Amino acid sequence: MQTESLINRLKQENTKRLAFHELVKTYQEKLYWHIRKIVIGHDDTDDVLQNTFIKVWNNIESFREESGLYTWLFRIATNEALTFLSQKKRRSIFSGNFENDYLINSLVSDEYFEGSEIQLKLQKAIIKLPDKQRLVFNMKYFDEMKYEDMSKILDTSVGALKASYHHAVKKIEEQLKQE
Amino acid sequence: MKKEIRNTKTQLSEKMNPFSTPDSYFDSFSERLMSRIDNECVPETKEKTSFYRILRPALIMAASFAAVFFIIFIPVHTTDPELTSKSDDHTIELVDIMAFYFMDENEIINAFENDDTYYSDNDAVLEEYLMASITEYDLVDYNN
Repeated sequence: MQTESLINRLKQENTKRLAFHELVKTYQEKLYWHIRKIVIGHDDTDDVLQNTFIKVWNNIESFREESGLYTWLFRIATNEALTFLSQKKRRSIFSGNFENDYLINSLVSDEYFEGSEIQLKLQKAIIKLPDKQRLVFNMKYFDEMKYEDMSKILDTSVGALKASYHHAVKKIEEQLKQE
Repeated sequence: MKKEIRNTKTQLSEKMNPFSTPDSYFDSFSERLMSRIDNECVPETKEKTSFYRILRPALIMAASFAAVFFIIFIPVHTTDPELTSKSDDHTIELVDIMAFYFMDENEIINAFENDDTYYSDNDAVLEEYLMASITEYDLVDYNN
């Protein structure tokens, strides 16, 4: 009911600004941490989070309420984060492992990473996963999100998500054994 | 398989999230975001862009046709003398036919009788030539 009222106010010109401020305050932290796990660095996360909310501001009129506000916001944030990484990749002269190198550099040089040695190892192993597996692993392992919710956000079947998580765990295990 | 991950998770459980943010980052985020929206999101600009986007393919196609016309058609018709004279002759012929069509027989006869150029100096020269070069024998042969 509260979400429904918020959406109605977001779609009206005279109440849009205040309702949007309320929306940002409600979802900024959840979306920030979701994006941060994808793009790693704080500054990049800040850019992507702003782009996400700007997209929401520009497209709120076309939002179809049956998809759920939370799902819609997470879907936009995920797409923005993946687009950001592919743009970084495209701009680089190097291909191949560029994305991994960029993210590992972001992790190592980020002044807002305060993890221990083992946490650094784990993050490096996660970064080496393919994008989709990395997303699924983070959402399941750290956010403890249900597969059903994840399925709506990533538009992937529950079976495929379970398989992705299984592969991700195996690869991380191998990475940790190597180091 | 999961044993090592589980062990790692236990070791990480004290501090699951190794990332942090600058102080009061979330307190000031909304204000920074709104000022960026105020600067960037001007509705008129968006309308102009979308209108241009719709027309863009048609404009490109029209420009291509115009370019082909100027590159191929105009130079051929202005530089080829054969084509140019042909088109001029056709125009003159058409005007003559139209004028002749609207004249009656009397007007045509009067036009020939009143035409000063009908008997010219060239005709006199031709008559003299014929008188000098054709003999009576030639005329007899011609009649037979």
